[in-house]
Amino acid sequence: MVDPILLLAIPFAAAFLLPLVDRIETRITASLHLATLAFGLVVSGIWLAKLGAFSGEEIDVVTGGWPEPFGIVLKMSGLEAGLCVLAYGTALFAALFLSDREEEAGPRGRVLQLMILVGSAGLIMSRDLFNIFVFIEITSIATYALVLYGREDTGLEAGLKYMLMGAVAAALFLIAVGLLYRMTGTLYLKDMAVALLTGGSVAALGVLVLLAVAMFVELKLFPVNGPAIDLYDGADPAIMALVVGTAVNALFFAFTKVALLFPDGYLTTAVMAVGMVTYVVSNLFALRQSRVRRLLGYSSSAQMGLLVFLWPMVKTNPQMMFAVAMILVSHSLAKAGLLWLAGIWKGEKLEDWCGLWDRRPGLALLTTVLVVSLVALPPFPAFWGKWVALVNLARGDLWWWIIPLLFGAFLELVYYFGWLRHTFRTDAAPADFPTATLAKSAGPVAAALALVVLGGWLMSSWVAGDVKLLPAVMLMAAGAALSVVRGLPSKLLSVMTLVSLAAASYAVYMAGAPAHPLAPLFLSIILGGALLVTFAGLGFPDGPREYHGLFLALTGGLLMVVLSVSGSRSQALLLFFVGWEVMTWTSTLLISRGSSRAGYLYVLFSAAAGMLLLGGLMVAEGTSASAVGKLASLEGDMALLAWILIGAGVVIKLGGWGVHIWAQSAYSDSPDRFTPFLSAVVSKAPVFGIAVLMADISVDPVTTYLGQKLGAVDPHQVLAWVGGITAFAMALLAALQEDAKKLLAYSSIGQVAYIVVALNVFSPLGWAGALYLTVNHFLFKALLFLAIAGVVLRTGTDRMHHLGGLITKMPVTFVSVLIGIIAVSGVPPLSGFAGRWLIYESLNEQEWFFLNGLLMFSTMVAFLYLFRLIHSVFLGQLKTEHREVKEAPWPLLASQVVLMAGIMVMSVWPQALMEPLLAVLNAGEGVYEPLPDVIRPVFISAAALEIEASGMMVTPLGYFNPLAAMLVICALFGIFFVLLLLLMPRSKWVKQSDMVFCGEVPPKPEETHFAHAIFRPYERAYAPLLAPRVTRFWTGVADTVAALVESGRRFYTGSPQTYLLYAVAMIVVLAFLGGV
Amino acid sequence: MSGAELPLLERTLWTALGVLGALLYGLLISGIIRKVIGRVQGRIGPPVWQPVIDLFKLIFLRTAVYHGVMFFLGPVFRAAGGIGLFVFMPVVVGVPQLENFSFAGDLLILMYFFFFGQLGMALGACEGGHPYSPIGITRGLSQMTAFEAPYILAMIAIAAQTGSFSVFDIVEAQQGGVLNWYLFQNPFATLAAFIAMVAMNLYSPFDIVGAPQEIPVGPRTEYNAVFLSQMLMGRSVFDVAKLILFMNLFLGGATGVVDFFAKTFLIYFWSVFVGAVFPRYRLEQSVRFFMKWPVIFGLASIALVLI
Repeated sequence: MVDPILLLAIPFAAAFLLPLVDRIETRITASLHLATLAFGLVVSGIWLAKLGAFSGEEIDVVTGGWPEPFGIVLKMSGLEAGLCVLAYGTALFAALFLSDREEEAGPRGRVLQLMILVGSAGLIMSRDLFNIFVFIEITSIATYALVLYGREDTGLEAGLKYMLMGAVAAALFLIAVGLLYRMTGTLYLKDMAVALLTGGSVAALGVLVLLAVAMFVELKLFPVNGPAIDLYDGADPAIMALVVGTAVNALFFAFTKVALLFPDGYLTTAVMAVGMVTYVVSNLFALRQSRVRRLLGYSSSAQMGLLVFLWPMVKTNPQMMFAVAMILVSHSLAKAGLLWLAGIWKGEKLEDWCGLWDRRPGLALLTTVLVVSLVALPPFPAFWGKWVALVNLARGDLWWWIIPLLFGAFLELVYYFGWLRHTFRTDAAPADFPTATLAKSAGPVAAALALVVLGGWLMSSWVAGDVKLLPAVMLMAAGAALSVVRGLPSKLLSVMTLVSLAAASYAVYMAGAPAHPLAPLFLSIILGGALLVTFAGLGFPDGPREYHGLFLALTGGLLMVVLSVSGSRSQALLLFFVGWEVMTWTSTLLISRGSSRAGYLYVLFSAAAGMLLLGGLMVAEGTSASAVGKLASLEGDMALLAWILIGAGVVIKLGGWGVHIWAQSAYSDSPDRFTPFLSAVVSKAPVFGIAVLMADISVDPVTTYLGQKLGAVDPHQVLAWVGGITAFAMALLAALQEDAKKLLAYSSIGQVAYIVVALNVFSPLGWAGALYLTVNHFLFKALLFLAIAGVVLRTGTDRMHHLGGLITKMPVTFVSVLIGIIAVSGVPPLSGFAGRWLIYESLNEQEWFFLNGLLMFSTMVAFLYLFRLIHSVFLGQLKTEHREVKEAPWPLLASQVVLMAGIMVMSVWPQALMEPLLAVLNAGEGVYEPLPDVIRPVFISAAALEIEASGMMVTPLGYFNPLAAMLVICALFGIFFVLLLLLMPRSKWVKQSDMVFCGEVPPKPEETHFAHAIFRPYERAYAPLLAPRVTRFWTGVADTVAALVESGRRFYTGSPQTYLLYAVAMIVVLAFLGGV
Repeated sequence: MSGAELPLLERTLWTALGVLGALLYGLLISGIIRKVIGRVQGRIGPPVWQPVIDLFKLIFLRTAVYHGVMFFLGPVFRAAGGIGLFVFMPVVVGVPQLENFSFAGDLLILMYFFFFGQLGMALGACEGGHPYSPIGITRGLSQMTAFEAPYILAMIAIAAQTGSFSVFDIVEAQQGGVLNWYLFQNPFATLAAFIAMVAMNLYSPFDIVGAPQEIPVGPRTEYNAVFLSQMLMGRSVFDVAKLILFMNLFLGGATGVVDFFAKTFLIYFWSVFVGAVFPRYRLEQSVRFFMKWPVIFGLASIALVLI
């Protein structure tokens, strides 16, 4: 076995050899440098393989043959080996990246790079306090030198300030080392900890405060992180990447060793608090950064804060070690990768990253993977780490730390995606585009690959060979694969997508009945929708190549959401959330391709929804119940809390009134080929969330102060009202839109709100209505969005008043829209009516009369926009420029025909869908048979829908016979049609311009087609309701946060004196609070 | 639901007969209102049977032009919609011959099928390409949403009071004396629904939709000859169906022929009395009007049930 000491010695020796070698032959210098790093990588890799990351097995490395306490004894265990792998790996790719710079500047840079490694390896392996000090100094000095040399600009100033802070930290550290040696008589951390534990005094606490603050400065925690952030901004990003991979990790590891000395109680809590404050405040400050590297600096600070916060809990809870390790590895790889990318693209400001997706999609993909990984979205490693951390927090006494943790994580998502948002923009792309050489792109590629592989491995270990989850994982993997081969022709990629989806469908079928009885319905919607939309996509011109990979991953995420729910699966909630978040970030990217603003709004609200949902799941994870009953076992206030948190998340995701602004822009501005899927299928995930998560929680009516007068308030009713108000508001807004896609966007949000209402009626009858509407919404929304996509494709616009008279040009599309709007409106005999009927009956049965009125009224208002859609686009006068317009491409039409057939089947034969569902819903109290481990919601009312043999649907309040209604209407229609034909032998088809126009020649179509602002009087009537309150509110929120952050940033004055003052103040405050 | 089941053929024949009767009745009462309004305005007015003459005249006009498939189908939608509403309605509860095809659905299907003909006709008229058609239709739709608000609330109140959406049950619940009629049992619902009815029948002050002096006849501008005849048929039966609905909901349904004619005629004349004397609302005035008192009456009708 290779002696670990070589990890320290070899770079040290090489550093001295390099100048010598350089004199002899310049070309060998680079080779020697790289060979040293490769050697280190291999050696540390071997040790990691031998010891295993978390085995706890450790080896003493005795230097120079002297035993303790005379010699220096180093330690090697899995953790040390892992950190060395990270350090040497980063250093290797950094050396490659920097090679062109060093070619010109001679061996000095290489020497310094190696010295950082020496310092870091030493810090990682040393185990006594003085050695830690020495290696901190070596690392720091090498860092200053590397950052500063050759610089004359702001980097120089930043480096000097950083050096000054470092010197103060070193002084504090050294004083503390001296005093501690005096108190304990040893420098070895283990012995020192024991000695302090037995003889702990107030004086010792004072010294430890000095030590802690010194470490805070080194780790760049708030409020002493000012110079470090300036350094990120000023230094060469490639060098900062090296520092992140080596020195930063090593310093954190040194902190973990020093933290051994901190006694439980005050100091540990203080350290955790400083960590958490750093995490939140740094993320908050990062929100307003306009410079990429400064943003990355704040983010590094925040991540260190998070790690420092988590570390003290490792002592009592070994699982936290996994969390810390994953967050550290992920941060290290992703941050280094992003810094390298910043070095390649050279965009200083966020706006400078405009056009990245357009011009350099490869780099853009890398950036995205690294960002998604950094903000801890699944399936990347940091996500699993954060989940474990959260679960362990939830189960302990420290659960309330979850709140700032989730808030910080939300902020992180906001600013990172705020950066990514610019990469999608095409409006202000820079004139010249740097190309990445192989040496430069090797680093980020390796980092991204490592993260993907590690994340995939972690996911597979969590899924643990569960066959039923295989289709979801398969699709995600296929998505990743398609992203790699995105250079292939677009049509081929579409076909590959179709094959993958078909394979996944087959796998779902082969895996047998899913665990949840409602899952088959949602699985059919997801897979059927994905297949149809992809097939329709064949009719579009070639779009961005990454579309297909992301689309598959999105479908995989949706499948995961549905398949994860099972009573026997211990990690059901985790896997649900994994699917949920994969769905979120993939759809964000897909939407952003259509409009970066829409994508950003989407992720902003989705991130908030995700955090709320996660909070709710954590309430459940905090219980000791088995997998089946985590949510169901909640009682009283805890149940209500979980219900409200999950409910808030779901409502945001559904675009309830007040938070609908994201949905409107996402549906209207996403790429035309994707919108049908987003609106018709992705919107069903939150519906499933209500049906399987919220329904499991039994919440009791809440008695409020008002409630004492009026009776208790049922939370379900509150949520149902949210749905009702949304349905009304969206119908009204849809009627006033001039763009077809905007109109459909509002309509979509409003129609999903009906499902929310029906689910919250919480009786088998209400649920029957909800599930029926779910299928119906899928059919008509996909149909309408596909039809309008065809119109936009052929005419190039979705401004409705620019269109008109297309019925003769696009007859099939017209029929699609006609069927679609009748299905939306609820006019019999098409499928919409049965859905409406079920909801109204269930609401009256529950005695929620006023809500019923609001909902029925919303349906009436919906007529306005439905008429507007079909009239403005297809009827009236055909515009001159559209005389040559062709019918939509056949794949689009074929998909529409399938959806129309679906609507027809639902209209006359709803039993096909409803009977299996009713068997589940009407099964009575207890559990679902034959799935004893899935809990059946305890409905408020037992009212149920029955279907008789004749097809008659009967509820406690009424009846409806779909087949009879259809037959009567068809018969009447037929009779009058034939009558018309018989009575009218001499009819004549004349053009639209041939009309009764007071004896005048009718003006041209542009002036005759009444399609602009057609509901203006209606708008006037409702003027008081229509003020843009929601938009104003959110703009106000954004402005307030911005102002807050802006004033907070004055904290960092840029003057080193202020920073020193903060360090001193921190010592005083910590000591004072500790009672020193 | 009806207890007595008739064979399908017999039921169909009775229903067809009912439709013919309703058509004649509908044409005649619209003749009567023209006469009445004429007298109110100091004219003699057309003969009562003028609509019947109009119908035949339209059918036998020698030319008929149309603007496309949807234009062609518009009147078919209208006729099927108007007559369908009648067909789905139990005319006289308890007389199987007059219960039509009411087994197809309850009150809600009547409320929603209402729009089948209107929607179809609207689309047909719009294909005509004349700007007056969509102008009239947007006015009609806007006003429709407005008057539906009190109407819906009244329907919900009635259904809540009965505990059922079935028209049979609603009629059943009003038996046993005049005071059991929802006219007296829930006067707020009656008020809300009857105000809505004036607009439903497009009488002034809610006649902005067709506004004769402004946009000739609104939606139907381009329709002519035999197309118009189908629309007239549909409209006439539709009117009668609405009367029957109101009779069933508020006046305890009909027990016999005399009862039936008396009640429906009274209901119809409510709109006529109001419609003959009021000037016309602008659209936004009409929408705001319905959002005020009628909606308050509607809410009160539900509150009455809850109390």
